[in-house]
Amino acid sequence: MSRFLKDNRKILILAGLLVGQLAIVSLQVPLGDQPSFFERGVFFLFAPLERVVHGVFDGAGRIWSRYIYLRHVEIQNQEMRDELFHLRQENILLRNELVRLKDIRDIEGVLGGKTGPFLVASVIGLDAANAYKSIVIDKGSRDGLKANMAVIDRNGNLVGRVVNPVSLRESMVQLVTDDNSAVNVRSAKSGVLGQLAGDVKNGRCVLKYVLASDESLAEGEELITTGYDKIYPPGIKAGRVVSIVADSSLFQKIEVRPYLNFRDLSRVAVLTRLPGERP
Amino acid sequence: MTSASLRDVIHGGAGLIAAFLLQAALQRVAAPVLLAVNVFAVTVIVFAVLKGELAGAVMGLACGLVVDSFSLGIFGLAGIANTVTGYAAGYVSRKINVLLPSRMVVFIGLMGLLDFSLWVLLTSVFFGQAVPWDRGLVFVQPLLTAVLGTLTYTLIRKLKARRDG
Repeated sequence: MSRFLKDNRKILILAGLLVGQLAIVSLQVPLGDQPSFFERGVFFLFAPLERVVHGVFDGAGRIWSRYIYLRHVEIQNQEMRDELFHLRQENILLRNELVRLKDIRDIEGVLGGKTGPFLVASVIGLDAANAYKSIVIDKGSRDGLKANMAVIDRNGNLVGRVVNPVSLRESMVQLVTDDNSAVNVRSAKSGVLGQLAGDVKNGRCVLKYVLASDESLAEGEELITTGYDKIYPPGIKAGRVVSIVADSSLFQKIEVRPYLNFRDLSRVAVLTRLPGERP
Repeated sequence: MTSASLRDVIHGGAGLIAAFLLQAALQRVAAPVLLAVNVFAVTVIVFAVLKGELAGAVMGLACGLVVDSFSLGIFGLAGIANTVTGYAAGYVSRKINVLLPSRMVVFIGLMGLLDFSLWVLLTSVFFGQAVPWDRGLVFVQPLLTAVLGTLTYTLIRKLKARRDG
């Protein structure tokens, strides 16, 4: 027996490592979408390293732009850009509400509370295995972030939602292009309702559960959130329908190009009021 | 723990942190082509060639779990693929001579392909998750792994030779 163990030591260790990992995979089953303690631990341990790299690149960029290239202009420019970012977010959210609510009384009643506060965050990491699934941002529970807070980009377009793990200073954001993402949306023009899910194969989205008999939706129509999912506030622009295929199945196959732009995802805004939460 | 195995642990830890930092840096400078470069596969294969199959398997486990912690995919999948690749790379490199750069490119390319294939197999076939093909960009991964791996290995050998005089 001992000779067998000695002769096959390496292959037995390999088998042990693989069985251990299969056990880790199995442990996830009862947890569902919630990350395991081990996964949280590794995230908490390595997320600060990502922040360091982000800081190094930002620092190098700042040294160049502030101290070598027009120091004062750059500082002023940065302040104005930050202010513009905030104002643009507020403006877009207010405009979305105005479009959604045609009755002026409704607008007066809802405007104050609906837009809600938001927090600007920098994107410090992309999903290590699949870039269309998630990003890591530099704000965490210390900044008041919680799971299920909606995230939008600098133009007010839907990016995704905060998901666990949320560490003290970093959080993970599930993108709308993740195939496990589900956002209730409606067409801004025809009012067709559906569920927007991600398609990680090509970084786009699909609109699900639109009956084949419903012919009111057309290519090029814009999709906005409805708020029915109790996660994403209503009126946020999510994407545009690019193709509709109706075959013999019950539902249409609708491809959607999300407005979320991967090349312009350095900063995002987290809507810090959860749906149903009072101001 | 012997001094040799302690050294291996330190080298492994340093390699893992270096891979993570490089991955984070690549995200900043080359995010659109990130799918084509698998820094962790390069690290696992080179480490396995340098240290052997067991060290390669353990490195694969560590790298895979880090990758999975920063991904919304199934936790443990990249770990399994990397562990098998690390073991295979270490084992095969002890059986055949892969030290010539021309052989090393082919060998690391094949190991990169093994890692990629295992990950795709586990992700799509066994767990039914979608694989990000990104209009075929992902298929460049084994090729870039081969080039980067060979360069890394050559650099380490040269640094080691200089240090040993």
